[in-house]
Amino acid sequence: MAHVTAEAAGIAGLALLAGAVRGRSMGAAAGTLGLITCSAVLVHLSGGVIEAHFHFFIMVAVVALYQSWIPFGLALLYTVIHHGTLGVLAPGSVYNHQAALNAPWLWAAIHGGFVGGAALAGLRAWKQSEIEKERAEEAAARLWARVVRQREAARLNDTVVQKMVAAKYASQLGDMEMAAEAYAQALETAQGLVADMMADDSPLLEPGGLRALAPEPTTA
Amino acid sequence: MIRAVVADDDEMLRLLLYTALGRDNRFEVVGVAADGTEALEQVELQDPDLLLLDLAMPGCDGLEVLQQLGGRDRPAVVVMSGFTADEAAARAIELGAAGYIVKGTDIGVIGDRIQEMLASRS
Repeated sequence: MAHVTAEAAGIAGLALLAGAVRGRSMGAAAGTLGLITCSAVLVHLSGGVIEAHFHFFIMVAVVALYQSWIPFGLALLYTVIHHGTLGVLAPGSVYNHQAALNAPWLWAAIHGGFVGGAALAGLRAWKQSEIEKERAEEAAARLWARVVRQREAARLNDTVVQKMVAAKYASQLGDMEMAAEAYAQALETAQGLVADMMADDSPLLEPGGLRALAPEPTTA
Repeated sequence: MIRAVVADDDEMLRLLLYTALGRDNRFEVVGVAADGTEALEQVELQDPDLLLLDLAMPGCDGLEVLQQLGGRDRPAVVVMSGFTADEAAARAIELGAAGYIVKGTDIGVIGDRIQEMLASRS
Protein backbone atom coordinates (compact mmCIF):
# COMPACT_ATOMS: atom_id res chain seq x y z
CA MET A 1 0.00 0.00 0.00
CA ALA A 2 2.80 2.40 0.98
CA HIS A 3 4.57 1.45 -2.25
CA VAL A 4 1.55 2.33 -4.40
CA THR A 5 1.02 5.56 -2.46
CA ALA A 6 4.65 6.55 -3.05
CA GLU A 7 4.30 5.92 -6.80
CA ALA A 8 1.00 7.83 -6.98
CA ALA A 9 2.54 10.67 -4.96
CA GLY A 10 5.41 10.89 -7.46
CA ILE A 11 2.92 11.28 -10.35
CA ALA A 12 0.85 13.81 -8.41
CA GLY A 13 4.00 15.77 -7.56
CA LEU A 14 5.02 15.98 -11.22
CA ALA A 15 1.48 17.00 -12.20
CA LEU A 16 1.55 19.79 -9.62
CA LEU A 17 5.01 20.85 -10.78
CA ALA A 18 3.82 20.96 -14.41
CA GLY A 19 1.07 23.36 -13.40
CA ALA A 20 3.19 25.45 -11.07
CA VAL A 21 6.45 26.07 -12.94
CA ARG A 22 6.94 29.18 -15.05
CA GLY A 23 7.76 28.75 -18.67
CA ARG A 24 6.21 26.48 -21.23
CA SER A 25 9.27 24.23 -21.67
CA MET A 26 9.64 23.48 -17.96
CA GLY A 27 5.93 22.79 -17.63
CA ALA A 28 6.00 20.51 -20.67
CA ALA A 29 9.02 18.67 -19.28
CA ALA A 30 7.39 18.10 -15.88
CA GLY A 31 4.11 17.09 -17.54
CA THR A 32 5.91 14.62 -19.81
CA LEU A 33 7.81 13.06 -16.90
CA GLY A 34 4.50 12.68 -15.04
CA LEU A 35 2.76 11.06 -18.00
CA ILE A 36 5.58 8.60 -18.72
CA THR A 37 5.82 7.82 -15.00
CA CYS A 38 2.14 6.80 -15.22
CA SER A 39 3.13 4.29 -17.92
CA ALA A 40 6.09 3.03 -15.86
CA VAL A 41 3.91 2.56 -12.77
CA LEU A 42 1.22 0.79 -14.79
CA VAL A 43 3.81 -1.60 -16.24
CA HIS A 44 5.23 -2.15 -12.79
CA LEU A 45 1.80 -2.85 -11.24
CA SER A 46 0.94 -5.24 -14.08
CA GLY A 47 4.11 -7.24 -13.47
CA GLY A 48 5.63 -6.14 -16.75
CA VAL A 49 2.95 -7.56 -19.07
CA ILE A 50 3.50 -6.44 -22.64
CA GLU A 51 -0.04 -5.01 -23.05
CA ALA A 52 0.68 -2.50 -20.28
CA HIS A 53 3.58 -1.16 -22.35
CA PHE A 54 1.04 0.11 -24.89
CA HIS A 55 0.37 2.86 -22.37
CA PHE A 56 3.73 4.42 -23.27
CA PHE A 57 2.52 4.93 -26.85
CA ILE A 58 -0.70 6.53 -25.67
CA MET A 59 1.32 8.91 -23.53
CA VAL A 60 3.62 9.75 -26.46
CA ALA A 61 0.49 10.73 -28.41
CA VAL A 62 -0.58 12.91 -25.48
CA VAL A 63 2.90 14.45 -25.27
CA ALA A 64 2.52 15.40 -28.96
CA LEU A 65 0.02 18.03 -27.82
CA TYR A 66 2.92 20.05 -26.38
CA GLN A 67 4.16 20.47 -29.96
CA SER A 68 7.79 20.62 -28.88
CA TRP A 69 10.94 18.51 -29.33
CA ILE A 70 11.85 18.53 -25.62
CA PRO A 71 8.95 16.41 -24.32
CA PHE A 72 9.48 13.86 -27.11
CA GLY A 73 13.19 13.60 -26.28
CA LEU A 74 12.43 13.28 -22.60
CA ALA A 75 9.84 10.55 -23.24
CA LEU A 76 12.36 8.58 -25.28
CA LEU A 77 15.18 9.02 -22.76
CA TYR A 78 12.94 8.19 -19.82
CA THR A 79 11.68 5.01 -21.50
CA VAL A 80 15.16 3.71 -22.31
CA ILE A 81 16.64 4.53 -18.88
CA HIS A 82 13.60 3.19 -17.05
CA HIS A 83 13.47 -0.07 -19.01
CA GLY A 84 17.23 -0.57 -18.87
CA THR A 85 17.84 0.33 -15.23
CA LEU A 86 14.79 -1.36 -13.74
CA GLY A 87 15.26 -4.21 -16.20
CA VAL A 88 18.57 -4.89 -14.44
CA LEU A 89 17.53 -4.06 -10.86
CA ALA A 90 13.97 -5.48 -10.83
CA PRO A 91 13.39 -7.24 -14.16
CA GLY A 92 9.94 -8.56 -13.20
CA SER A 93 8.57 -5.08 -12.82
CA VAL A 94 9.37 -4.20 -16.43
CA TYR A 95 9.35 -7.38 -18.56
CA ASN A 96 7.47 -10.66 -18.52
CA HIS A 97 9.30 -12.65 -21.13
CA GLN A 98 12.58 -14.45 -20.90
CA ALA A 99 14.42 -12.77 -23.78
CA ALA A 100 13.99 -9.36 -22.18
CA LEU A 101 14.81 -10.66 -18.72
CA ASN A 102 18.07 -11.95 -20.14
CA ALA A 103 19.03 -8.76 -22.00
CA PRO A 104 17.21 -5.83 -20.37
CA TRP A 105 19.26 -3.06 -22.06
CA LEU A 106 18.78 -4.56 -25.49
CA TRP A 107 15.01 -4.66 -24.93
CA ALA A 108 15.14 -1.19 -23.42
CA ALA A 109 16.67 -0.06 -26.71
CA ILE A 110 14.01 -1.95 -28.71
CA HIS A 111 11.18 -0.38 -26.72
CA GLY A 112 12.93 2.98 -26.90
CA GLY A 113 13.17 2.60 -30.67
CA PHE A 114 9.44 2.09 -30.98
CA VAL A 115 8.71 4.98 -28.63
CA GLY A 116 11.11 7.07 -30.73
CA GLY A 117 9.24 6.00 -33.87
CA ALA A 118 5.95 7.05 -32.30
CA ALA A 119 7.57 10.34 -31.29
CA LEU A 120 8.83 10.94 -34.84
CA ALA A 121 5.37 10.23 -36.24
CA GLY A 122 3.96 12.69 -33.69
CA LEU A 123 6.52 15.30 -34.67
CA ARG A 124 5.70 14.86 -38.35
CA ALA A 125 2.01 15.28 -37.59
CA TRP A 126 2.83 18.36 -35.54
CA LYS A 127 4.90 19.86 -38.35
CA GLN A 128 2.14 19.10 -40.83
CA SER A 129 -0.43 20.80 -38.64
CA GLU A 130 1.91 23.81 -38.33
CA ILE A 131 2.15 24.00 -42.13
CA GLU A 132 -1.62 23.72 -42.49
CA LYS A 133 -2.11 26.37 -39.81
CA GLU A 134 0.28 28.75 -41.59
CA ARG A 135 -1.50 28.13 -44.89
CA ALA A 136 -4.88 28.80 -43.26
CA GLU A 137 -3.55 32.01 -41.68
CA GLU A 138 -2.11 33.17 -45.00
CA ALA A 139 -5.39 32.43 -46.77
CA ALA A 140 -7.32 34.31 -44.08
CA ALA A 141 -4.95 37.27 -44.37
CA ARG A 142 -5.32 37.31 -48.17
CA LEU A 143 -9.10 37.15 -47.85
CA TRP A 144 -9.11 39.96 -45.32
CA ALA A 145 -6.85 42.10 -47.51
CA ARG A 146 -9.29 41.52 -50.38
CA VAL A 147 -12.27 42.49 -48.21
CA VAL A 148 -10.46 45.66 -47.08
CA ARG A 149 -9.53 46.51 -50.67
CA GLN A 150 -13.10 46.00 -51.87
CA ARG A 151 -14.48 48.07 -48.99
CA GLU A 152 -12.11 50.87 -49.92
CA ALA A 153 -13.22 50.58 -53.55
CA ALA A 154 -16.87 50.74 -52.49
CA ARG A 155 -16.12 53.77 -50.32
CA LEU A 156 -14.31 55.42 -53.20
CA ASN A 157 -17.28 54.69 -55.46
CA ASP A 158 -19.76 55.97 -52.90
CA THR A 159 -17.97 59.25 -52.50
CA VAL A 160 -15.58 60.38 -55.21
CA VAL A 161 -17.03 58.54 -58.23
CA GLN A 162 -20.61 59.56 -57.44
CA LYS A 163 -19.64 63.19 -57.15
CA MET A 164 -17.61 63.10 -60.37
CA VAL A 165 -20.61 61.58 -62.16
CA ALA A 166 -22.85 64.27 -60.64
CA ALA A 167 -20.44 66.93 -61.88
CA LYS A 168 -20.46 65.45 -65.39
CA TYR A 169 -24.25 65.19 -65.48
CA ALA A 170 -24.73 68.68 -64.07
CA SER A 171 -22.47 70.16 -66.74
CA GLN A 172 -24.22 68.12 -69.46
CA LEU A 173 -27.55 69.49 -68.23
CA GLY A 174 -26.11 73.01 -68.16
CA ASP A 175 -26.17 73.48 -64.40
CA MET A 176 -22.62 74.74 -64.00
CA GLU A 177 -23.15 75.84 -60.41
CA MET A 178 -24.09 72.32 -59.38
CA ALA A 179 -21.23 70.92 -61.46
CA ALA A 180 -18.74 73.12 -59.63
CA GLU A 181 -20.20 72.12 -56.27
CA ALA A 182 -20.00 68.43 -57.19
CA TYR A 183 -16.36 68.80 -58.29
CA ALA A 184 -15.55 70.57 -55.03
CA GLN A 185 -17.21 67.78 -53.02
CA ALA A 186 -15.39 65.12 -55.05
CA LEU A 187 -12.08 66.83 -54.37
CA GLU A 188 -12.81 67.19 -50.67
CA THR A 189 -13.88 63.56 -50.23
CA ALA A 190 -10.92 62.32 -52.30
CA GLN A 191 -8.52 64.25 -50.10
CA GLY A 192 -10.27 62.92 -46.98
CA LEU A 193 -9.98 59.35 -48.25
CA VAL A 194 -6.30 59.75 -49.06
CA ALA A 195 -5.69 61.26 -45.61
CA ASP A 196 -7.49 58.30 -43.97
CA MET A 197 -5.50 55.78 -45.99
CA MET A 198 -2.19 57.44 -45.17
CA ALA A 199 -2.98 57.96 -41.51
CA ASP A 200 -1.63 54.72 -40.06
CA ASP A 201 2.14 55.33 -39.95
CA SER A 202 2.43 54.99 -43.70
CA PRO A 203 5.88 53.80 -44.83
CA LEU A 204 5.37 56.10 -47.83
CA LEU A 205 5.86 59.07 -45.55
CA GLU A 206 9.50 58.24 -44.96
CA PRO A 207 12.02 60.13 -47.11
CA GLY A 208 12.08 58.48 -50.53
CA GLY A 209 8.77 56.66 -50.00
CA LEU A 210 6.87 58.82 -52.44
CA ARG A 211 9.48 58.58 -55.19
CA ALA A 212 7.65 55.80 -57.03
CA LEU A 213 4.52 57.95 -57.23
CA ALA A 214 6.15 60.54 -59.50
CA PRO A 215 4.55 60.57 -62.95
CA GLU A 216 6.36 58.55 -65.58
CA PRO A 217 8.04 60.64 -68.28
CA THR A 218 5.98 60.87 -71.44
CA THR A 219 7.58 59.99 -74.71
CA ALA A 220 7.34 62.46 -77.53
CA MET B 1 -45.18 57.30 -71.20
CA ILE B 2 -42.94 55.28 -68.89
CA ARG B 3 -43.72 55.98 -65.23
CA ALA B 4 -40.43 55.87 -63.35
CA VAL B 5 -39.11 55.91 -59.79
CA VAL B 6 -35.51 57.06 -59.30
CA ALA B 7 -33.64 55.58 -56.31
CA ASP B 8 -30.19 56.95 -55.48
CA ASP B 9 -28.71 57.88 -52.13
CA ASP B 10 -26.68 60.76 -53.62
CA GLU B 11 -28.92 63.81 -53.49
CA MET B 12 -27.29 65.53 -56.45
CA LEU B 13 -27.46 62.46 -58.69
CA ARG B 14 -31.05 61.84 -57.66
CA LEU B 15 -31.96 65.39 -58.63
CA LEU B 16 -29.99 65.26 -61.88
CA LEU B 17 -31.53 61.96 -62.97
CA TYR B 18 -34.95 63.28 -62.01
CA THR B 19 -34.29 66.38 -64.12
CA ALA B 20 -32.90 64.45 -67.09
CA LEU B 21 -35.77 61.96 -67.24
CA GLY B 22 -38.25 64.74 -66.55
CA ARG B 23 -37.00 66.59 -69.65
CA ASP B 24 -37.39 63.44 -71.75
CA ASN B 25 -40.99 63.24 -72.91
CA ARG B 26 -40.91 59.44 -72.91
CA PHE B 27 -40.68 59.41 -69.10
CA GLU B 28 -42.67 60.65 -66.17
CA VAL B 29 -40.85 60.53 -62.82
CA VAL B 30 -43.54 59.63 -60.28
CA GLY B 31 -41.28 59.14 -57.26
CA VAL B 32 -37.78 59.39 -55.87
CA ALA B 33 -36.09 57.40 -53.11
CA ALA B 34 -32.91 57.98 -51.08
CA ASP B 35 -32.38 54.35 -50.03
CA GLY B 36 -33.57 50.83 -50.71
CA THR B 37 -36.37 50.88 -48.17
CA GLU B 38 -37.80 54.07 -49.66
CA ALA B 39 -37.47 52.54 -53.12
CA LEU B 40 -39.61 49.57 -52.08
CA GLU B 41 -42.16 51.94 -50.51
CA GLN B 42 -42.32 54.02 -53.71
CA VAL B 43 -42.80 50.89 -55.82
CA GLU B 44 -45.65 49.83 -53.54
CA LEU B 45 -47.17 53.33 -53.58
CA GLN B 46 -46.73 54.36 -57.23
CA ASP B 47 -46.78 51.01 -59.04
CA PRO B 48 -44.31 52.40 -61.65
CA ASP B 49 -43.27 50.81 -64.96
CA LEU B 50 -39.61 51.41 -64.20
CA LEU B 51 -37.38 51.55 -61.16
CA LEU B 52 -34.01 53.18 -61.86
CA LEU B 53 -32.01 51.73 -59.01
CA ASP B 54 -28.61 52.53 -57.49
CA LEU B 55 -26.70 49.60 -55.97
CA ALA B 56 -24.75 51.06 -53.04
CA MET B 57 -27.26 52.65 -50.72
CA PRO B 58 -27.59 52.83 -46.94
CA GLY B 59 -29.93 50.56 -45.04
CA CYS B 60 -31.18 48.33 -47.83
CA ASP B 61 -28.93 48.16 -50.91
CA GLY B 62 -29.93 47.73 -54.53
CA LEU B 63 -29.33 43.99 -54.63
CA GLU B 64 -31.56 43.56 -51.58
CA VAL B 65 -34.27 45.60 -53.31
CA LEU B 66 -34.03 43.33 -56.35
CA GLN B 67 -34.24 40.29 -54.10
CA GLN B 68 -37.27 41.63 -52.25
CA LEU B 69 -39.04 42.53 -55.46
CA GLY B 70 -38.42 39.01 -56.70
CA GLY B 71 -41.78 37.39 -56.12
CA ARG B 72 -44.00 40.37 -56.95
CA ASP B 73 -45.60 41.74 -60.05
CA ARG B 74 -42.59 43.99 -60.26
CA PRO B 75 -41.70 46.98 -62.35
CA ALA B 76 -38.81 46.70 -64.78
CA VAL B 77 -35.67 47.47 -62.82
CA VAL B 78 -32.69 49.13 -64.48
CA VAL B 79 -29.67 49.26 -62.22
CA MET B 80 -27.49 52.33 -62.47
CA SER B 81 -24.30 52.07 -60.50
CA GLY B 82 -20.76 53.39 -60.26
CA PHE B 83 -19.42 49.83 -60.08
CA THR B 84 -17.92 48.98 -63.43
CA ALA B 85 -17.09 45.40 -62.47
CA ASP B 86 -18.88 42.82 -64.62
CA GLU B 87 -19.67 40.85 -61.48
CA ALA B 88 -21.92 43.62 -60.17
CA ALA B 89 -23.90 43.73 -63.42
CA ALA B 90 -24.11 39.95 -63.62
CA ARG B 91 -25.39 39.72 -60.07
CA ALA B 92 -28.01 42.40 -60.69
CA ILE B 93 -29.22 40.66 -63.87
CA GLU B 94 -29.26 37.34 -62.03
CA LEU B 95 -31.56 38.93 -59.44
CA GLY B 96 -33.96 40.07 -62.14
CA ALA B 97 -32.72 43.47 -63.32
CA ALA B 98 -33.68 44.31 -66.91
CA GLY B 99 -30.38 46.06 -67.50
CA TYR B 100 -27.32 47.74 -66.07
CA ILE B 101 -26.04 51.21 -66.80
CA VAL B 102 -22.68 52.36 -65.51
CA LYS B 103 -22.86 55.77 -63.88
CA GLY B 104 -20.95 58.20 -66.01
CA THR B 105 -22.70 57.13 -69.22
CA ASP B 106 -23.67 60.37 -70.96
CA ILE B 107 -26.87 61.61 -69.45
CA GLY B 108 -28.28 62.34 -72.89
CA VAL B 109 -28.29 58.66 -73.86
CA ILE B 110 -29.61 57.19 -70.60
CA GLY B 111 -33.23 57.50 -71.78
CA ASP B 112 -32.41 55.64 -75.00
CA ARG B 113 -30.54 52.92 -73.14
CA ILE B 114 -33.44 52.40 -70.75
CA GLN B 115 -35.93 52.21 -73.57
CA GLU B 116 -33.79 49.64 -75.41
CA MET B 117 -33.58 47.53 -72.26
CA LEU B 118 -37.33 47.68 -71.70
CA ALA B 119 -38.00 46.85 -75.34
CA SER B 120 -35.73 43.82 -75.29
CA ARG B 121 -37.42 42.67 -72.08
CA SER B 122 -40.96 42.67 -73.49
